[in-house]
Amino acid sequence: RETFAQELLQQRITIKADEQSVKAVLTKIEKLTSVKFLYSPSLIKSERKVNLNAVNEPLSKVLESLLSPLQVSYEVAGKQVILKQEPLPQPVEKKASVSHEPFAIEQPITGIITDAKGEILAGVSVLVKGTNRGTSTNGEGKYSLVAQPSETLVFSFVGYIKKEIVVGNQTEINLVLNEDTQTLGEVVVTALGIKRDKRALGYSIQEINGESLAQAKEANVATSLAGKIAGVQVTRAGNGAGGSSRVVIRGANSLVGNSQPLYVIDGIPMDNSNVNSPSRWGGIDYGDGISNINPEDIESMSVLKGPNAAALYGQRGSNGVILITTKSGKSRKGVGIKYGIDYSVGDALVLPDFQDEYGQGLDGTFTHFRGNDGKIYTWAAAKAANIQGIPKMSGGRDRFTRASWGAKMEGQQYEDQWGNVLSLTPQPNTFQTFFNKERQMANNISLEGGNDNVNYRLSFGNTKIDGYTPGNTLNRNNISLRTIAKLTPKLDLDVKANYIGQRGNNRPTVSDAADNPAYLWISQPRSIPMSILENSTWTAEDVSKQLGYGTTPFIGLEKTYATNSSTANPYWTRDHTRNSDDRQRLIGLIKLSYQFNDWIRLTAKTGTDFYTDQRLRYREKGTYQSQNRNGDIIEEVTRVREDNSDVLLSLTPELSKDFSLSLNLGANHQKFYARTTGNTGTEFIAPNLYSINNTLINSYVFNLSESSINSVYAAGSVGFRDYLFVDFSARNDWSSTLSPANNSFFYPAVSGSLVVTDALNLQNSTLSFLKVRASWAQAGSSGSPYQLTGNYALDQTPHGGQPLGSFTSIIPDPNLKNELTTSLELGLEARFFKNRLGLTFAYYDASTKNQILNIPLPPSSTFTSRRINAGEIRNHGIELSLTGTPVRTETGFSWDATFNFSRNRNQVVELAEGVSTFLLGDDRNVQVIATPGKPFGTIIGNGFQWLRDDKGNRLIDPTTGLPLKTNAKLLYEIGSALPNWIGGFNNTFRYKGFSLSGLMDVSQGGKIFSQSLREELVFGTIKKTLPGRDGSYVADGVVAQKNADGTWTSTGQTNTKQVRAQDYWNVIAPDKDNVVSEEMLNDASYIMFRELTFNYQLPSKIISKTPFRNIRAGVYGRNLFYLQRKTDGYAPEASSFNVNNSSLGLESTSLPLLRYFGFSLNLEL
Amino acid sequence: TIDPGLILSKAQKDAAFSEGYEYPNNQFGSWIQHWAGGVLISSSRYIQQTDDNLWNDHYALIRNISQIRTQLLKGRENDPKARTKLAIARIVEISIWQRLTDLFGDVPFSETALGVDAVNNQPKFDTQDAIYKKLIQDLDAALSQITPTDDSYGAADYYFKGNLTQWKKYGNSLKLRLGMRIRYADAALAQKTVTEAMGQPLLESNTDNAAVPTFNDATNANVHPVLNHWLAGSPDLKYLAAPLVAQLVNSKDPRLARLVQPTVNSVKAGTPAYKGIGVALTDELLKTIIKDDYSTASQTTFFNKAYSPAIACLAMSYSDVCFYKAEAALENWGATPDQAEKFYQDGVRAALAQNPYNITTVPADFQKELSFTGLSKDEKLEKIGTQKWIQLFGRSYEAFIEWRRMGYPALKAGPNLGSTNGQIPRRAIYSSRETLLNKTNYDEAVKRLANGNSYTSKVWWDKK
Repeated sequence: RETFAQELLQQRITIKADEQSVKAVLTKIEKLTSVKFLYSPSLIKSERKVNLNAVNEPLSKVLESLLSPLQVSYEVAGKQVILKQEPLPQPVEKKASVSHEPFAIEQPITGIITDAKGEILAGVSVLVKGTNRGTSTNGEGKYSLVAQPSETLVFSFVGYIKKEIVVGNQTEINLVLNEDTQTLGEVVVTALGIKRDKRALGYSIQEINGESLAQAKEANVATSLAGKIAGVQVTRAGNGAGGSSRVVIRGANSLVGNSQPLYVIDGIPMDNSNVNSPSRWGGIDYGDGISNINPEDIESMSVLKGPNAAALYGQRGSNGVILITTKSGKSRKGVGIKYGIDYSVGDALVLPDFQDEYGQGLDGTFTHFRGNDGKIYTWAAAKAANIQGIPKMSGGRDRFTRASWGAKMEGQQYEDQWGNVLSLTPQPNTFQTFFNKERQMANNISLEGGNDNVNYRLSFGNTKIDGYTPGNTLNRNNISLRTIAKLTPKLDLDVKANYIGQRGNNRPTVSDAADNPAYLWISQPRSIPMSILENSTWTAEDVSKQLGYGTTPFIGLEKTYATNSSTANPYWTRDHTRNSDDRQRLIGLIKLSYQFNDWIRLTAKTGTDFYTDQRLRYREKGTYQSQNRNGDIIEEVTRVREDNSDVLLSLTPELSKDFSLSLNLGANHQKFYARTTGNTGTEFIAPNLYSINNTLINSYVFNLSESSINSVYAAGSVGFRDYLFVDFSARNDWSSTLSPANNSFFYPAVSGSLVVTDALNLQNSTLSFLKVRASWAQAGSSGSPYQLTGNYALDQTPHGGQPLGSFTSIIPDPNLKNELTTSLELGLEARFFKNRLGLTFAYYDASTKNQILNIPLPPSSTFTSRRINAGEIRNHGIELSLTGTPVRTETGFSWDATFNFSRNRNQVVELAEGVSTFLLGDDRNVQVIATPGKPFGTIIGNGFQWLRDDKGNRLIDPTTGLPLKTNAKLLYEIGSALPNWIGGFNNTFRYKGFSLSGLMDVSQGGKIFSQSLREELVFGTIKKTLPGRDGSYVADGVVAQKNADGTWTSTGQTNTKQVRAQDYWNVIAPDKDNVVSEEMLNDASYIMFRELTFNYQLPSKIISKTPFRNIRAGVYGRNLFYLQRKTDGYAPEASSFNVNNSSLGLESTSLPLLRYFGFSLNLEL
Repeated sequence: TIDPGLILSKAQKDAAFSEGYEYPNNQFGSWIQHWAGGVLISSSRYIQQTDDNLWNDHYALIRNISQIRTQLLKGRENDPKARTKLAIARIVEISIWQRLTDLFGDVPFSETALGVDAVNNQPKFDTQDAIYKKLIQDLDAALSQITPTDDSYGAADYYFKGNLTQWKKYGNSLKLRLGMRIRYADAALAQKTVTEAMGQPLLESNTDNAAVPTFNDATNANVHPVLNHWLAGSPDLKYLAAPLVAQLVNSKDPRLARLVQPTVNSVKAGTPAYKGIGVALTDELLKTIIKDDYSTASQTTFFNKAYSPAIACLAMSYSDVCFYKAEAALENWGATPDQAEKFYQDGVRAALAQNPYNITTVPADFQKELSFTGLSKDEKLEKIGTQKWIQLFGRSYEAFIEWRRMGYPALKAGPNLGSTNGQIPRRAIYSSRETLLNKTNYDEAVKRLANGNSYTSKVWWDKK
């Protein structure tokens, strides 16, 4: 605190005042600096007129010259400067200056004052009530004074709750002062990095400090936003160490691509793209941009929700903006060293609910038999002919051979498909055996320091992850150097360089692809020992004794039990395939600002984010999925660069004593460039040499994208008497991605807020603060480059030396315009009971029109889609946050609780002329659409449907006892992918140095279509398929009767006929392409105990005996458990396999969500 | 823009290759009992589902090939540098349209493929009747536009390397096919069309075959689709159907060993034998199958990457034309009934001579298959149908189309009832994407189908 006070007082300001009120001068100083004055106007006679003329003088000096003639003294607490009418008493340490009141029974009293965290508080004023005797605590938090037993001591400190203690016979009074957080003027970072008092804002912005992100660490910092901010939905697919997260603020605005916010770091937008993200047919998630950022470098994150807060970012702000402010140095004596270590271990939280009773086979028994004559028979044939021998398992692709509908596992001898003689026993813990515990270690060290003119912060962070999937590792180094210097009294320089070096290895493949490691295990026969598969190549013995594999196995081939395109052997994938990626990234910033006088400031800055991402992937010869089993390789390099340059003129002219004005005028130039080059090669020639030129066939990979946007903008704020504020902003963008006729767009925004309690003087003991606000804004997007013209492409491989050409499948539109989002927001902020309870409420209604859409066309149009400006999507909803301090005791115990709730309604108002349905995504047996009149993300089953009576009962075939389904597959609506509401509930308990904090993350409503469930049901691998395997399964429904015309009607009787579970489930899922769609649907609702952290800060008494300034240790858990979950064997958060809208509501054999436990230790020298 | 030759190459290659891959072989090929798809391709067991890829891919083919007339060479009908190229592109396009409507029935036709500036978001479905009339007209126009002195496509033209005489022959043969296809639905138009075509030069030998060469030493994209089926597909989907194997065995067909692989177990036992799997088996029957007791396609020819010379992928063969001529002769359309047997024999000989059979001398014990002696007209048609059926192995769409038209060979449906109550499907199912995105027109077209958008509805010309 001392350091901070020093820094605060040493900042230089230029100010001139002629016959102005003290109050006006103070307000002026507040504007020039980040300080805030606290004073009682009557006490210091703030209307008094003063003269002042200071040019680039330290604040301390300015204050002195302003205040000393008024006989006003001040003290600094945080950013607050508290003004008092009398001079501070002399420190009492000098015994000589002890009060000389003529009373005999005075006694000396000493003590230490700390805050709830155990940190010492310096500068706490200690007054003897009713007198002007007093002192303040020193740098160690100690005080000492003399008082009579009957007197009362008043301890007060800005930002803390005042305490009064009767002296009595005590000689030592140690106290804990509790923070009174609500009274502090909350300063938040707004668009363009402008710090504003939150009370002046007319739109909603929520800030989260770096500390809460750095606790319970997630490798991808965006993921840790889950549940913390109203209206922000965060999901992270099971995508391996360092994967992407999907952040959607206030619902999806766009039908295409993703609805991810813009990330801006220290004023410089970052490229958050995830190049070549996975699709429904597999792929690897190499992580997005935000996953590269070190959480430890983050000072704070501001979430600008939607256009109202983010209008100044023009077209890029339409999905909201997340502003990240990184840490900078502080001027101090010597070098401040901070070190932190964080270690966590993660393991699967939800696993498929495997059954461990029945083994491979069908109809409750084996499928094949090896006679003693060595010949193989079907089970039935062997039994019929009474052949002697041993049961034999078969390979194969369908449920007739490799399902787990077989015999009860009771140790029977059998020969497996490769000829090993084994006993039929349960093989539990498939996932646990194959996968690892994920281990994550983060080490961070930072050095900081500086003086009046220069400060710096240098940090180094290393994150190492040994992933859940064996062989998957991530090693990330972040080096950040930031220095802020005063070049001349008027010229400031801010320079930052952030280097990120990240290397990933063997990231897992996700979704519907053979080498997704989760894919095989979910359908694997429950009796195959993992050790059999671990020897992952075919041997001569295997080849000679195998049954059912087909005709191609050869020695050295990847050994799988089925020839399904989706069943690679994960052990082979682990041992004989490799992928690696190396990302070198530099994010840099240079900012110069010049203070012309006390109200004009010019800032120029330029920043860049550029990176090279080098990826290599190969699969050895013998890999089943590679062309002709001969392996393949791909190597590619992507270079991405985004440059942003800005100039900003800030004006804060003095208007009058009632009006304040600030005005910002700026211009921006943004340039984006991405280029991918590489090669693919198939079929290795020589074994064990993994280079492109050792392949039979190779071809190129090439991709290029360039664009730029020029902008000018203006933003201003008018304040009236510090309770009424009107903000306005306007921006014009010129984008290179549209034609010159259409490439200019204007985005205005206006907002207002009124602090009702101040304006109407309503403050009372119940209502402490009330603010109402409203805002209106427009923002938009100009889409991606190269969308105006159609183009021809050549096939990857020519045929007989002749290149093969084709025309784009998207109809281009040269007259495209920009998209436009118009958003209205109304809000309310209130605090009650002396700020013990706070409430924030927002209603918003945003509508995005003229979307640049690839409107899907029926194939018969010969094109897949038409690119046009079309449609209107409306997102409207409410957000509610409650913060409160239910308990706060004298002893230093406090309980803070925060609850947030948001409900978004996403409506497709219209698409395009003649287009009624937009296809968002599809997968086996399912399509996800957007269509007017239905919510965004309506799930359409593309499979069989139950026949039901008019009461909704399933019709049961009286002969078979099985439910009846439609004759053929059909399209029918089965649910909606989006939740009804999401929320978070956070509780923090503090006592002295201890703090315990728990976060609950809630999402209610919405459905997920699960592809895992389909596999598990087809192959009978989960517990759900156990009941009734003996033939006692009774399907829910009513007995039906067949009419003459072949249709069925209900007889009204409840079905009681017993069937085999196998027959029942095979009606639902006979194979992967013919399921009863509605049965694959799970409710996505969950209540997750997301985070629990327990921290302990060593008390100052102990710290003071060590060389450290601060020691904090903690333990935490993330993704602890569900209080509610309705999914079958997978995490509801895994409801998408990439960050795009196209995978909404689709679970595709996802990797499990991990539960982490960790500890952290932070030291400060 | 781009050289239109690149577009033509792709259309020729993709259209020809598309009917020989794993999926069409196991769906349509199972229906006409060349292949035995089994449980993995459930449509092979008559379980109805939408034919999304088939539909989408054909319209994509049309999108590409039509770019030549709507953009690349647009309006240059009188320019010798473009005129004949336009005609050739149109002929290729017509062949794709024909296949599309033959598989589905009514399809959007007149309101689509009008160029990128005139795309109709929701084209209505034309009746097959109307489509055929227009295709025949357009083909006539294209044929008359081919001018010997004009520029042609040269090497980009896989079929004929720019040889315009051959293009004329192919165009006339296509006309013969169009006419013959509708013979049971519109006999008058069929007769007129066939008779006209018979009067023009047609494909005359296997060297006139419209075919795309394949390359075994390159990537799997360049190999014959049936070889691709073997290399890239699933081992469970490589088995042949019992009726095809039985036909070859029973008739002592010399193609047997070059088309069918002896079963693994019979080879192990030292008594190589050929056996196909029944099609559309029930679950109960599937359980009795041990795959090693059954034959795949031959691993010395079709299923052999080392086979040389690589098998060309046929779009239309001289043999096809011979069989049409035989049928026409039987009707006295442009030839007399006594010429039918000769045409038929030419067809069989041409089929035997095709790679990979390369049989130029008809073995004595197969001679009887070449004779029409003592047969009724229907029996003759059955012979034609049966030989055509064998000849069309690897061309699963065309085989399915011709089988439905002729009704020969007589095939018995497999035992699984599926969605058709045990009937062999008669058409493909409109794409689900079309259903969602062109609903009004789709609904209207479905109303015209006797059993709705189902396997059991028949297309207009399917009257036999």
